[in-house]
Amino acid sequence: MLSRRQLLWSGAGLCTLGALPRGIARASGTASRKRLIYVYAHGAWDPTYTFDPKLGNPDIHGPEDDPGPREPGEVESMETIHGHRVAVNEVQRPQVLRFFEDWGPQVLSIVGVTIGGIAHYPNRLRLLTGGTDRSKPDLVSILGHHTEVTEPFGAIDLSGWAFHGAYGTTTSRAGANWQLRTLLRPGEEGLGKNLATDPVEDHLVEEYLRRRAQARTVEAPLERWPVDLSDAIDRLEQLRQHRTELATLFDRAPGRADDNLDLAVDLIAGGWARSVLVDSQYYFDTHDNNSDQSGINDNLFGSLGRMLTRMRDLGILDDTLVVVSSEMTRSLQLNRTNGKDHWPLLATLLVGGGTVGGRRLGQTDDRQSPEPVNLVTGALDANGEIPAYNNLYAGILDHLGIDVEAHMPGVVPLGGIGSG
Amino acid sequence: MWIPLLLACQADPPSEVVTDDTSTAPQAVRLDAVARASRVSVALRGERPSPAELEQVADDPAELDDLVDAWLQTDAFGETVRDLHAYHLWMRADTRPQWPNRYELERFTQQEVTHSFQEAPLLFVEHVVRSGAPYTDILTADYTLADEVLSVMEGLPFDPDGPTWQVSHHVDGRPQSGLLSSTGLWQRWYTNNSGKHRNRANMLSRAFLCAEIGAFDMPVFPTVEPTDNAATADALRNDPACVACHQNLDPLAAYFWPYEINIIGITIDRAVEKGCGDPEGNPDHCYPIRYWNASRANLYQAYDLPPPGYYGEPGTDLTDLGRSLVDDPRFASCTVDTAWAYLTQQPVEDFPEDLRTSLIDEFSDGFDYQRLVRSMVLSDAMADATLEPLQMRPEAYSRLLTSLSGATWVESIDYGDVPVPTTSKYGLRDLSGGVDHDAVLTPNFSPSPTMLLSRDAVAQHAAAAAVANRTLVDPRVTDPTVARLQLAEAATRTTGQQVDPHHPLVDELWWLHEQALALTGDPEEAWRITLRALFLDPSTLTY
Repeated sequence: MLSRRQLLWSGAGLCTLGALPRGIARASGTASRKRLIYVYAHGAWDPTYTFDPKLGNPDIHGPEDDPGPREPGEVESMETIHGHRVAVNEVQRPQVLRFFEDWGPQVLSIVGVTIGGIAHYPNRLRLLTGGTDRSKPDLVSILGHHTEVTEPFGAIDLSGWAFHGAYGTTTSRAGANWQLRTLLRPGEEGLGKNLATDPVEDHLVEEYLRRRAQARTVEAPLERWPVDLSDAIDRLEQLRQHRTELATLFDRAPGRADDNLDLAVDLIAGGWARSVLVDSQYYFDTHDNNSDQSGINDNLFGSLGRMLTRMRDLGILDDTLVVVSSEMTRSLQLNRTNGKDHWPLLATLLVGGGTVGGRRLGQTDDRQSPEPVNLVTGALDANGEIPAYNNLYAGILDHLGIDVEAHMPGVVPLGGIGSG
Repeated sequence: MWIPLLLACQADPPSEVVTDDTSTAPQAVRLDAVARASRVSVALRGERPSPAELEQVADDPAELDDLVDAWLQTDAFGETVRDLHAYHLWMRADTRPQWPNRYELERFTQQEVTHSFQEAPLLFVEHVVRSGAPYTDILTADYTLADEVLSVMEGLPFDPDGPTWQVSHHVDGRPQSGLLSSTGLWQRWYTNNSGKHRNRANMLSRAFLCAEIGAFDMPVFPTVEPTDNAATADALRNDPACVACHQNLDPLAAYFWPYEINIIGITIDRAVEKGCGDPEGNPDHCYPIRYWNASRANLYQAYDLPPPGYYGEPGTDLTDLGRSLVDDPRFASCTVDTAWAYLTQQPVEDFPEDLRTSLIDEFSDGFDYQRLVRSMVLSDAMADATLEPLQMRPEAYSRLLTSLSGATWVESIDYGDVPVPTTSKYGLRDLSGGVDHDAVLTPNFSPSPTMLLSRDAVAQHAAAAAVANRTLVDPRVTDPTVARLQLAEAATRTTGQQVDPHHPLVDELWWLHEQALALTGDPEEAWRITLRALFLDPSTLTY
């Protein structure tokens, strides 16, 4: 019988000698070294509780209209904190206040951007892909497919919400309950319990697949699938080589916000992924009891502050852009069940990755309608245009160093995000 | 060792150049008869042709027509019909909260309850298609299907001595109009007090007309606050930002007012806790659930919304809506487009226009879905050798491996017996490139690391089962000549190629087998590893 080491090194076939054509099908464009964590706040958040307050406006119901009881000394107010207009209530939303106090100088808040509709799914599609075609890749998938990407996952979707488009080979998924974790632990709990535990066996099978993929690239040189397969095998092998370490990262609760954000940070910091899409795990769809926005926003901003602190401590904040957004906002007034319905605007936070913070772009008026801006500079401009979701999307692409014209032809990127 | 591999690298692709009589210029590159039969078989059934069927088409390519006729009569084709419609209606959303297996449903597992509820509309479509009835019946037929779970859940008449799924009828007074009368479908497409059934109307426009109303961007920003009912009603009629969508959306939504907006598990729990009796607990929310209540039919008036109507034509009830939908020319074209996109994995934009027109014309004459699929899979477009390899969906892959190994990977957990390859909540469906019908809505036809990892897990289970069940190979075989014969047959059945013992694929498998035997010293283990690799082979994963 051969030794395991002999087996590991005896398997290289003729077709697999030399470098496999990695990256052949990758997106072209300016090289981007930035990384991305996209935090999706599912359900339509209400920024009147956070960074687009309308306190005192009788036409717009906000936290001041929440039913009691109130704590003694509890006050709703609007304050400007490091360039942001913030709805402050130190009792109900202390973490929102602390977030803007601590991170306001680095945060760019963007309001008054139209999203084009009032339904969850089409707006999610617009938000994440910049359009209404679900065959197109989203921001996270685009960045994960970039030519410079060497991380084994490329992009990874922890939320299930990703649209990978043509970049499926570089967009990985984790499963609804992060089943990926159990597959990384063969022989142990869950779905992995009956899987092979010998890495040499895995290597043999990978080597076989490499040979077969390479043979196919010779047979059919125009086909992309076998090239993608070779690429995926290489990256799978990298993942398997460190599977214990990787599986440990997933030893968290898929339903908890902090666990999701911690995992996203660790996947970026550890060099596993170039970009991550993560759900905030807070559900903002308050058609009933809109006052729930107070607590869930406070929890989310607490989690965000914690995440940014970790990123800063790990030294990844400067080159990692964090985007936080919901697919739309909420309407002006309370309905019959004290909820608020959908409103076709975006309210978005950007931080890190070269974002120039301490500022707000865009504005909504006292009827919660968007105001025009100069799309090139992002500054308010009465003679400008109402910014739309595709302008914002293109602006983020541009900021990440992605060729905007290749993905959003003819769309003017919203400027003013970075220093450039 | 290296010579066969060189041959593998130089082997011709399984295709042929087709020329016409008047020109020597190539017109198209088509798959050869065997490769074509294999692609068609997987598209229709998720299974490969048998070795005898491959031989049949190799000898006479025209035999494919008869084979397709036979394959259309198989249960596996019925499963494909269900898969296609599940994908299109986003029905198998098992990650969402489900109606609980408590109270009268206690004797069933949650997996059984979820499966029956989600699968009922799909089985109904399969029933229509396989019966040969016009496909328009999916929206107009005056019956439904029920099993034991649905009979308890919805009070549908059911004969316990009859078959598992039986023709039945709702007894709550709802008009019976195919899928439009399905509780499972409309609970999947639930709405809320603010949405007012518009989500359901939008689904109709997307799934049956391929003209999703909600996909259009608002032309201008709205000026109305939605909680102001009078102002909203006025804006929905007069504000250009609203009219563009709502003039069609709201009358379509109005058909659905008798339905419950959404019943969730806690609704049922509360009703039961209160004794299922008015006024303490709403009896409609106890099993059997009363999902339809005709007394709500005119509630749209309370919000000053328009009455039922179909794109400008006044309507009455679900049967009228069903008739309007199937009479709409977009129903036929949408059916053709969605079937083509699913079976070919190509975007509709790439649908050859002449073929599309011809198929729509043919389908519109009698709405014969089997004939439509037959024409589609036998078309030249389906035999196009220049297409990227089509990647097996998780459902088809599971069927293939089940047919080869005699077993499906099922995990028995508290939730029930969960088929791992084809479910998402506790399974590997979306990790394997599939959709979860809720969040993950676009299939991945490219290999990614996580797709390979999850397919490998499925392959490992199937390989172990195939060895244990002796379905594909005799794992005691060690003689090289016999082993190569065995590998050739296994490869033929798995990949749908005609593989003889001297085929390059057998050389590769034999190389692996020898390595595996050297590693383990155990012939059975060596065969298991060999089959694991074969089940992951590019020729297995694609068609």
